[in-house]
Amino acid sequence: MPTCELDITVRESANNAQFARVVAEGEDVLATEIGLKESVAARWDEIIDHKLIEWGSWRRSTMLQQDFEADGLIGPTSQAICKACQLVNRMRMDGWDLPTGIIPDGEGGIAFENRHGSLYQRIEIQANGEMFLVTFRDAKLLDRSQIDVE
Amino acid sequence: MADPSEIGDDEILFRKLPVKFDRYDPDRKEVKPDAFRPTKSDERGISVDRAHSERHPDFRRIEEAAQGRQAEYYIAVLRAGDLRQHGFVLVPDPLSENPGHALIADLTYANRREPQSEEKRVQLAHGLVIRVEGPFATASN
Repeated sequence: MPTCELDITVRESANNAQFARVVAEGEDVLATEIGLKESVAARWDEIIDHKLIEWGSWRRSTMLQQDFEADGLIGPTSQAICKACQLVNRMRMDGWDLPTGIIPDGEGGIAFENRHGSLYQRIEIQANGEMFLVTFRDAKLLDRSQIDVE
Repeated sequence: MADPSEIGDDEILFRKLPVKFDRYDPDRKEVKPDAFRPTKSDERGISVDRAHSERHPDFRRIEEAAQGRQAEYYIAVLRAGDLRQHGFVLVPDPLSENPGHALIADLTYANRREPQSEEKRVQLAHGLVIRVEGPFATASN
């Protein structure tokens, strides 16, 4: 039976870590496996236009910032948005399927997530732009590794 | 007679999820673990509201629990007994304006980056939310 477990590998280099997509027994990384009605390219555009650009605009609204603060939340920082754009471009260029969710973490960062049954993976971009790949199975944390976009 | 301040296993709990922060995906019907991520003010645990009931008529109804500063919120519905079965600690924390306020004491701002805290957030989001209702518009919107 195909599995997508451990389908992202982390290669340490002298200055940073890079992530590389591998195909594990025929399944893609961060892939939504059910056919999408719209083209993947259009969905990537939607992520950039409707999420990342919108999140960038939050920083220009004092009223929104105050509303978020009342709930203890912080919108994505410019560093996190910039890193997310790099990641999206890389994933798009390499033909990755869409993640199952892209959400602001509430502390200035952004999480790309993928959930397949009991396997749950997140690429967490922190407020300062640092990135981590985090893997859970059955809600147990299996691994947390620092990664970066090449 | 049971202490009315004690949280009964059959009690329903509400957790407010801001729509703008995508804490719930209505298409995939998925709650995100970030819905249970503690914020700076969560020093003793994350907030939940105990549901209005015959036993607790002064507690908030779901629409009241969904009020806040942001325009819209979903409400994640949980059952106290389910949380306890999975080892979560629930603490009543009545406030003057919200007598049904309570805390999930396992999840604090200080421990939010610890593996156990991350696991508990995934467990809550993926396994313990009974349903999600809303979105509810806040009264000022």
